[in-house]
Order: sequence, then C-alpha cells, then structure tokens
Amino acid sequence: MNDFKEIEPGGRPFVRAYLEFMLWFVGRAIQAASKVDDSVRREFAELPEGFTFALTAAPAGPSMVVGKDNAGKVKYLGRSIEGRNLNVKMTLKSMEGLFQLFTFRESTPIANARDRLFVEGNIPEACAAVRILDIVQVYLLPKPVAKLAIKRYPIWDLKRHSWNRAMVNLRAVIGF
Amino acid sequence: MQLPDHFEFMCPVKTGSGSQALSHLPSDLAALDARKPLILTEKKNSEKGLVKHLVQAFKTWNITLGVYDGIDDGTNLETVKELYNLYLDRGFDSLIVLGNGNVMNTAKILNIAVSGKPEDLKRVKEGGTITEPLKPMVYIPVISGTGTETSGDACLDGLCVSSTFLMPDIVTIDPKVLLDEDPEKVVNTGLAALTYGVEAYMADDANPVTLTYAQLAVDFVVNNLEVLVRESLVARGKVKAAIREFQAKKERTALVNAACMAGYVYASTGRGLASSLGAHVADASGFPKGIAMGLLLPYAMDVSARIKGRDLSSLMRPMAGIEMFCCTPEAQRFDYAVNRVRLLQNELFSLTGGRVPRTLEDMRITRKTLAGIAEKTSQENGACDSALCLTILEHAYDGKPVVS
Amino acid sequence: MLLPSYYEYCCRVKTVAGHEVLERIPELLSSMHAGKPMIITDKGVVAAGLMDIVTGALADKLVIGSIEDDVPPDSDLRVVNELARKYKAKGCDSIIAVGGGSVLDTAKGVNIIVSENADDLMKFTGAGALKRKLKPLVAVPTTAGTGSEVTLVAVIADHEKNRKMLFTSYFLLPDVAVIDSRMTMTLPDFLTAMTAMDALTHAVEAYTCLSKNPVSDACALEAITLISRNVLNVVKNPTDKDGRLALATAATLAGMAFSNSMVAMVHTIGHSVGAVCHVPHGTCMSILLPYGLEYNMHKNGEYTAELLYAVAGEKVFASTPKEQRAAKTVEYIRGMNQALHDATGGRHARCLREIMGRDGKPMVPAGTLETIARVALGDGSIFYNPEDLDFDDMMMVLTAAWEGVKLDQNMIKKG
Repeated sequence: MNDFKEIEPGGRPFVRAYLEFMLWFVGRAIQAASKVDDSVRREFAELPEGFTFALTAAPAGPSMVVGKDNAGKVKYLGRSIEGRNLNVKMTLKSMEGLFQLFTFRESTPIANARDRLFVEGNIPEACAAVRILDIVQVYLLPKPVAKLAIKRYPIWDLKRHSWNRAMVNLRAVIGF
Repeated sequence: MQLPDHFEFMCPVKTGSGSQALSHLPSDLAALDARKPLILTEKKNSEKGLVKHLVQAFKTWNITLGVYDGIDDGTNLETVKELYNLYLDRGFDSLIVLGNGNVMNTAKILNIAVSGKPEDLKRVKEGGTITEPLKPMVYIPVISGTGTETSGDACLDGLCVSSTFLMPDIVTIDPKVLLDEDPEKVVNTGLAALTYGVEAYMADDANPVTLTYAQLAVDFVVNNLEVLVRESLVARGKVKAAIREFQAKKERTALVNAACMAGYVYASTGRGLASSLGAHVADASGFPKGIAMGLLLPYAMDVSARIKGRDLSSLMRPMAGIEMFCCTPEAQRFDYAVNRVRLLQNELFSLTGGRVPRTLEDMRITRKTLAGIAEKTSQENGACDSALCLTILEHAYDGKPVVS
Repeated sequence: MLLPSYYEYCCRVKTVAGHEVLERIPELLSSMHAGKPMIITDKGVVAAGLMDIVTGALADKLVIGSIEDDVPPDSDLRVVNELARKYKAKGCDSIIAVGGGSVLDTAKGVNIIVSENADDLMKFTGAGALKRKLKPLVAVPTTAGTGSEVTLVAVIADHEKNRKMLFTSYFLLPDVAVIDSRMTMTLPDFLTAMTAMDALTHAVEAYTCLSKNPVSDACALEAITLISRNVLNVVKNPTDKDGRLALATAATLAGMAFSNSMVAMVHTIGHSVGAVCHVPHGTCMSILLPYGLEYNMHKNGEYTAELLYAVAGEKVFASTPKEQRAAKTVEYIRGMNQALHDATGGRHARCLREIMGRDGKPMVPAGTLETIARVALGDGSIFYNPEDLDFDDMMMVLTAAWEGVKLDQNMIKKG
C-alpha cells in the first residue's frame, strides 16, 4: 500500500482571525443599534427577558452571542457558545460559508436558500433576529454592499442614515 | 402525458452541485454518522491537485483523512482485498470516491466487502443479492465518466453486481475539481448521459417522476456539450483563457450534472435499445461505450417513434427550451429532437476532426458483423428483437434515418 | 433549465404509483426484512371505506400487526407515545401510514420512538439529531395535496406543555410512497379542488422562489402541468381513474419540489390565516397564490412567465407576448379558482371573506387581518421569499386577498 497516506487537514487561522473580528464588531453593533435605532429597540422589546442569539459555524465556530439581560438591556455576550442556553442559533455548515457571508460574496437569504446554514430554536424569534441583523447590516455597510446582503434596501430618513449610522458605528468601536 | 398504469422510481442519492460544494461534505458526512473517510482516487487526480481541494474542505473539522491514490485500469480484486484490510485496520467508516469509471467500480465492490463480511463478495459473485444498506459512500465526479457511476451497477475484474444499495449516498459536484479533459472523453460522458436520458422517454413505463431527472440530463448535454468541446479547442492567451475558464466551469458543472442524473435514471429504467446495442458495438469497434451508444441513439429514436409509434414529441422541450417548444407545431417536435441529436453528432465529428464518428462506417466496423451484434443484443435484451436491432444497425451504418 | 450557482436536492423515497399498487406493499416490506406492519390511520379514512381496500390488497400476503385508526386531526405526543407502546407490545416491525399530514407526522414520531428505543422525543428535535435509518415506513397518501409522503419534516404537538416539536432529518423520509388511485377516488369535489390547489401552490412557490433548483423545477413543471390539465375534469367526473392518478402523482411531485426548494410568502401568510382563523390549509393556499406571484413579480416575473406554459398550455404560451406572460399566469390561476368555485357550487372560496364555517358564518372577519399579519412575521417560510415583507406589506396583501381584488403593482415597495 505505497499509495496510501493519512492526512490531518489542519485549521484556517487567518480566516478564523478575520471572522472573529467581524463577528465581534457586528455583535457590538447590535448592542449599539438597540440603543440608537427605534426599530431594533422595538424588536428586542418583543423578545423575552434573557433572550440569547448566536451566529456560528460548524464544527467549532467562530461564534458571536448577543442577548438581553433581565433588565431588558441588549448586550454582546462574547465569542463562546459553550455552555449557553441559546434561544436561537444560526449555524453555517462550514467556516467557508461564514467566510463567504462576511466577504459579501453571498447574502444571508441566498446562503439559506442554498442550504448553507440552519437555524435552531424558536422560529418567530429567529425571524426577529434576522430582521435585526438586516437593519444592522444597513448601518454598517455602504449602500452598494448592503444591497447585496439584504433583500430590499430600506427607505430611511436623513437622520437615520447619517446620525444614527455614525452613532451605531462609534458605539460599536468604543463598546458602550 | 398519459400516465402508465403502474410505475416506480427511486433515487436514494443526495446531490449537491456548484460553488463551494466540497465545503458541505464534512457536515453531510457527519449527518450520516461518518467520522473517518477513506478517499479513493487515481494518481493523476492527486497530481493535478484535486485531492488538495478535497483536503481543504475538511480544514477545521479535526478529521483524519485516508487517501489511496493507486487505482488504475489494472486495479483488480486483489487490490480490493488489500484495501479491505486497510479500511478495517485503520478504522475507516466511509468512502469518498474522487474520480470516474474504475475508481467508482472499485469503491462499490470494496463497500460490499467492508459493510458486511468479505465472503459477501463471493456470495454476490455466485449470484446472491445485497440485502442491507452499505456503509456511507460519497461520489465526487471529475469531468469524464461513463454515466453509470451514480447507478447501482459495478463491474471490476469480471465481477459484475447491480443493486440500488450500490448507489452513492451523496454526490458532490464541485467545479473546482472539474478540469479540462481530452475532448473525446468529454464527448463520451456527454453522449452516454444523453442516451440514458432519452431512453427514459422511450421506456415502456416512461412517467413524469423518472422524466424529472431524464429531462435535465438531456437538457444539460444538448445545451453544453458542443460549446464545451468547441471552446476547448481554441488557443488563447492567459487572460482570455482565464475568462473562458470561468464560463467553462459552468458548462462542465452542467455536463457532470447530466452524467450523474443519467445514472439515477438508468438505475431505474435500465438499458434501452441504443445502450444495449452500443455496448456490443463498442466491443466490436474499440470505441468507448458512450460514443457508440450516442451514435445509435437517433436511429433507436426513429424506431421508437416511427415504427413502435411512441410519442416522443416532449423530448424537444429540454433540448430547445420552453419558448421554441411551444412555438413549434406538435407534429414537428419529434423531428426537431431527433435532428438535434444528429446535428450534435455531426458537429462533434467536425470539431474533433473525425475522432467522434457519425456512422458505423466511420467506426470501421464491417457490415457483415452487424447481424451478429443484433443477434447477441436481442438475446440479452428482450425488448429488442433481432430484426429491429438489425434495422437500427444497418441504418446507423449508412447514416440513414429510419422511416416508417 | 437554470442551474443555480449552488443547489442541493434529495428525495430518497421510492415512488410506487398506479391503479393497483397497494398490492406491492408486502413485497416492498419484505425487501426491507419486515412483515408485520402497524397500520396507522384516522377515522375519516376508515369511514370512506379505504381501509378495506388496503387490508384487501395486503390480504394474506403479510401479517398485519395492528390497525390503529384513532389519530385525531391535531395529533400530539400523547397519541404518539400510546401508538409506540402498542407497536412494541404487539411486536410490529414496520409502519404503514394511510392518510394525510397528521397521520404521517404521527407515524414519523412513532417511528423515532420505536427505532431509537427512546422515551423522550424532545431529544431528537433539531438538526442532525437522528443518525441512522429508522424502521421501514410506507406512506399511502389519501388526499392528493400535502405531499408529506416525500417530506423530511414532522411536527408533533405537546398539548400538555403547550409546545410544538419540529423534527427535520433525511431519516424521517418514508421508505416508500405508494400512490394508488383508489385512495383518492371518493374524495368529495370541494376537497379535490382544495387539495389540488394546495399541491399547485407547493409547485409554483418551489419554482419561483429563492431556493429553486433544476430538479425541483422539473418536478414542479410536471406537477403544475398534470394539475392544470386534470383538476377541473376530475372535480366534474370524480370517477376518472386516470385523472385521479394524475392528481395524486402531481401532489407527490409537488412535494418533492417544495421539500427541496421550500415555500415562501403564500405559505407565510397562509399558515397564519390557518393558525388564527382555523381555515383549512388548502383553501388559504388557493386564495393567496395569485397574490404571492403578484407581490414578487418584479423579482421573479421571468419564472412566473415560464409557468404559463404549464398552467395554460403551449398554444396560450406561444400566442402571448413575452412581457405579458407572467400576468397571464396569474390570470389563469385566478381563472382556475373561479372555475372550481363554479364547479363546486361555490364551496371553493375565491377570497378570504368568502370562506364560511360549518355554522355559515365567515371564518376570516376583517378584524382578524392585523393579528394574522403579526403572526405571519414570525413564520420561517418568509426567508425563502424573493422580496422582503414587513407588517404593512402583509396587510396590503391580506386586505386585497380579503376583498378578492388584484394587488396594485404601484403599491409594492421595490427597494
């Protein structure tokens, strides 16, 4: 059996580092948007106390967890899903899938339509989480890129487009 | 379409096709509870870097892959025995087949042995059937193939078995591993797929369920094969070649989809007139089977429609598209379909400088061997009486359509 | 046929269809090493005399382990547990499910318990929870609509804890779907119409929405063609054996299409009308289908246009200018609803306000539309819709569907 060998495929440290960063930023942006944007605030208000939502990739992340504490405050809860009781968990079937998503080569609805992700947990809450993600993407991305990421680019007033956008980005960077 | 009084169809395969398809494999295998796959392939595929793409897809998964790339035309039951020991000793639990024809045959036979007892092979050789599902098997096609890789047929070293349990669990078509290949091999794949697809329309129990896959096989071959061969023969500079490669990947993906679907259809409908005769013509002429089958296909279509009275007009739809199909009067649709196949062959003949034959005469078969082939075929396949077989062969010899 | 940049398709179910194919069941079971099935069905199936046909066909060719005919329309965990207990007590080795969606969901639940020797079904919810083949399961559909004989999901309610458990796995797929024309022969006209339009909706949404793929597309086209050519005829001539087989086959094909390509806003809103007002699923589908196509037309009009060939035939397709085909497809579907309305003496409703309950009162009062729209925002099928829908969009669609008027294309937000 000269033609046989065993291979350890290894990891993808650079891709992982990039995704860790992106997820960290989006997580903090969700926290920021919950304070700045009325629609996001309303969506979170409808969700139960202690609600947690995670975006992750199989088999072992990277991940992002966002939740609502008992006082109703929305918080970025870090990059580990270990030991958490999640209400909604959105898992890309591979790190490559998450990478495509965060390099804007494929939008979430298209990744979903192409069987690249699955959602576990309470479905109405998952729908709310997706709506929140959509709004946050509009805040974070320039219009041409955001148009690739969501189905319908919203019509917002000037304040939401400029002031709110600046606040969400600023708060995400400094983290409050 | 009038439905037959009784029809059956099954395709137990999950197909995934397109960009990043390989990245779905680890989670698909996990869903089948497989954690240690053995990859089987040929030397040339590892040399071309195809195995690397596959390994890349398993990064971050913490899975050890076994790779055996020693399969070639000389692979026999001895090799299977060695692979059997390897599979068990190293604790593999599934097979990933990267390649075509013989690689797949080896994997199927090996899977019988590793799923039960090695004596199962002997039992199957003596006519026993496979009665239980086998271990998980994934098929990753390359551009060329026989069109039966995804079916339940396996033939290695004189041992031929057929069972739906031999069909792969997962077929993963990834454009990354679909590289340019010798046009003749590409044509062979395409014409085999086209033949199995069209034969599903000619089968006695032709039905809308089987025809879902069959129409796609026909569509993807007719609309991709010619352009793929033509463009692969054009010399280009680096930039233009890279641009062309982008489009070619799509056409190859479509063609390989056709080949896989043809295998699913073939597993349910079996051989028709053209493929039964084609197998013997291939033996007699030394040409590949797919090319021989494809050559006979239009004559078998003639016989089916014009002598047996089958309505094959709906075959035009996957070939020409909905628009053209609807605008063509019903009475002309069969003519369109059969002529489209003839046109394709003449084009391929011209493009390859005669390497793809149009007639049996092009194949340099002598006319007097035809009766023998017809006789042999009709003994094997009850649906084809020897006079009908001979009609097909004689017309195919001269390239003359069969008229009622 | 369009080849998307990536697609997946899987339907592992063996389809066995025809006029007398129930007789194949013993042989099929024996090839899976089974010979003592539990038959799971409901009282409606028994009352229609279908169980006699099934048992007659199986006759002395196998031992029927047990016949359980009390699956309620809203089956739940208690029923599943009870049936699983009986399955084990009577030493059955396989399951034959005869009926519609509820019967099949129940059978799938029973199958998980008896195959995995489980006491808590909850452990098997979620992706990837099932890892191996379950006991042989044969599905015999009796409605020609739901397509659940080829779907990989099961929903089982737990009424005690007031929750719904969702199971998704390729291992939940039945091994065989036996489509026998005798099973739908006695379906009353309005149910025939309703279930056929349910199947049509599956196929149309699969073909026009985000997860479309060539195999589903081919299934959908065949299904739509079979339904549009046969439904009116079968409603008028209920004993048309070939027409019945065509509709039943179409429902299975539509099931293959939508279980891979999924469904979208017609189901998003339709599920919610069903949940809030308890309207039968098929009725919601037939009413809402034209609106789903109209709403998405600026995104997927080219696919809707292609369907004209399947709904109206080749001549109509060829003689309609390209840019008018999508609208014509919608017009034809509305026309089918109208024709079925006439043929069933008005029992096939054309708009939401026309739906009447057994007591003769309207089932969808105008006041419920807002609640419906809110519930719809939480339905997962919305992910597969080409265009986004917010609360106002839902209300616009619901209001038009309630009145029975066309959607105003100028009112649709196009981003």
